[in-house]
Amino acid sequence: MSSIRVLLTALCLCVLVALGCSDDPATPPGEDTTWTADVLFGFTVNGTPLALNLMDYSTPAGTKYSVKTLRFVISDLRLHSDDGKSVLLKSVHYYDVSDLATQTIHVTKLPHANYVSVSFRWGLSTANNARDSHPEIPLIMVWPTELGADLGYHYMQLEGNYEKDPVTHETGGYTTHTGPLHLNGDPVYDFSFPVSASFTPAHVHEGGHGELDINIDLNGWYTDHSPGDPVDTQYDFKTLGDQMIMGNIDAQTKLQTNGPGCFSATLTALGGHDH
Amino acid sequence: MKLRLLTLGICATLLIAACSNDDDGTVKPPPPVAECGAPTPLKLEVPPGYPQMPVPAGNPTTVQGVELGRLLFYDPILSGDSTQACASCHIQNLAFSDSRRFSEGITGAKGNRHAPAIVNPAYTGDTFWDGRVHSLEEQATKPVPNQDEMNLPWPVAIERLENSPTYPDKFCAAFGDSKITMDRVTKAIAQFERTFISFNSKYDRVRRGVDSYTAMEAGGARLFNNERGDCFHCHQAPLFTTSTFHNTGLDSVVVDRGRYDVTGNPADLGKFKAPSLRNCADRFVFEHDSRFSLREAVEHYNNFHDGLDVDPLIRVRRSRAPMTEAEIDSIVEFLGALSDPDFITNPNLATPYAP
Repeated sequence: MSSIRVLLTALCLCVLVALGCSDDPATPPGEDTTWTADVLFGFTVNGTPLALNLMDYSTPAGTKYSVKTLRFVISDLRLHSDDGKSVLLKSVHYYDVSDLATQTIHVTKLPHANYVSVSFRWGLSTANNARDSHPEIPLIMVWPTELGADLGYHYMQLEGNYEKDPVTHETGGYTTHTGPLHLNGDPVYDFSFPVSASFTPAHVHEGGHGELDINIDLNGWYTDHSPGDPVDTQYDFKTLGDQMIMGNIDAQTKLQTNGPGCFSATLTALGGHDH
Repeated sequence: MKLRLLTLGICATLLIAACSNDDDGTVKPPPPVAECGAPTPLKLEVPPGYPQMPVPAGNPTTVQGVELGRLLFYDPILSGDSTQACASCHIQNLAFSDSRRFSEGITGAKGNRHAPAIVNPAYTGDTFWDGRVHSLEEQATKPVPNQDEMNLPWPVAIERLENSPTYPDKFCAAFGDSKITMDRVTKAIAQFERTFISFNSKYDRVRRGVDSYTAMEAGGARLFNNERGDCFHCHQAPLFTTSTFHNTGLDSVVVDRGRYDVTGNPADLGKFKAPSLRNCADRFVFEHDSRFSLREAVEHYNNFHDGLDVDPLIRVRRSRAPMTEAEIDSIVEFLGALSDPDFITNPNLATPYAP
């Protein structure tokens, strides 16, 4: 009797240890009630896929330009379902078009739902934007102290060349940098803004995988999306392209006004089980 | 009794099987017993408000590792004719750079790029002017066998260290046993280099509120940090580098292809890493090919060669009024405030050998 008790106790212990040592306590296949997603960013200019370093694009003001650099920060990235709920995909994300490591957000354990839109903040709100508050954002994105003591980070750095003169084809550089502003005696100007993009409702099956593609049409930054409105927000490189726009409230306001018109999104289900 | 033995046997088998990570079920041998005891972890101290110092998981900093790295950094044993050490071209009072335009190797051969300063290198990602290596450890593998530098094949270097009366015990203390490999040599040198911490310049003291700038330094600081001077985009405080690569319009026709030779991307032609400006006033020559003095390097942004390959951050200056002589003077003055006398005289970073 005593021996059997020892045997049973030892076997139980072994089973417990075996469970404890397992590397992967995943739910058995077919019983996963969540799904995974990759969030990807795509870029177009007037609907044409972006090719870097080519002087192939024109602003609505008619100025030819190329894109060499694109870095940005978004925050509070969420998926929204048709029942009014939302799920946080990432609190803060830094993207660099020349750094592959920043270009995909992999999200796991997303609840099963019928998703209809994605939202995020372009940049960081003032409350969430302080120097050194997000060490994952590289130093090149830090906003200079002279434009607002320790306000934090740029929202975007979009840079390239533009044609200054269509006859001589003289070119120059442009630096469309956006961020907060706190000039002497002024309040803090928070030029970040919320973005919401709806898509065809998508339902990723349990245990499946989805791809959320967020597209940014870069010409949107320079486009007055409400031309009937008395406020002209068209952004012309010939007046602003190579100017010091980081401390220019008018330029930052135009970009903030135009920015929400840049975004679209799709969610694609790539597999899984339907019960 | 037999049943108990059988039970223990089953349990042992199950325990081993349960905890093995190997797909084929083989049991990993236990880790070797350290011959010299474990090295003492060393926490690298950074003042509050500065970025946390990254240390790779595969090479934690230890007291013994740093000590060994310091010996190696200053020891000419790692050069072919035992005349040159790392420190021959990375001189402490020059912020671990070289006063010569191009350093000379043991054969008298010269490179075509300046030996860069080593200041707060723990924060460096890709190293060398073109970023072709990705860690301090990897960087340290390069100069020893380079025929134009220290010109000593690694196997010979290892043999020398193994036959040294000093090093086997030092490796034992640093790594737990006395095995000497290139990997361990470079890890130790990297550990030592991570102690090259410079956060006590006048800039740092002003930041901490215990010092103040002169009027000229303050003016330079403003220019440095606004779009007029626009130094901050590539030389962002507190490291005064963003570790990014830029074509700053040095040549009308690219002479040294720089980053392009690493990436093969035509957009990277003529790009070089933006170096840290900390302790720049302690150095004599600037740019990857040492063509400028400090003032000339600042003046260059009034007189760069323009072109489509040049960084837009530089090109935009073409449309603006050039910096005045007084503005350039004030920026240079501010750059002097980035010097940290404690760093270039820190006895813990100096040669451990008697003169």
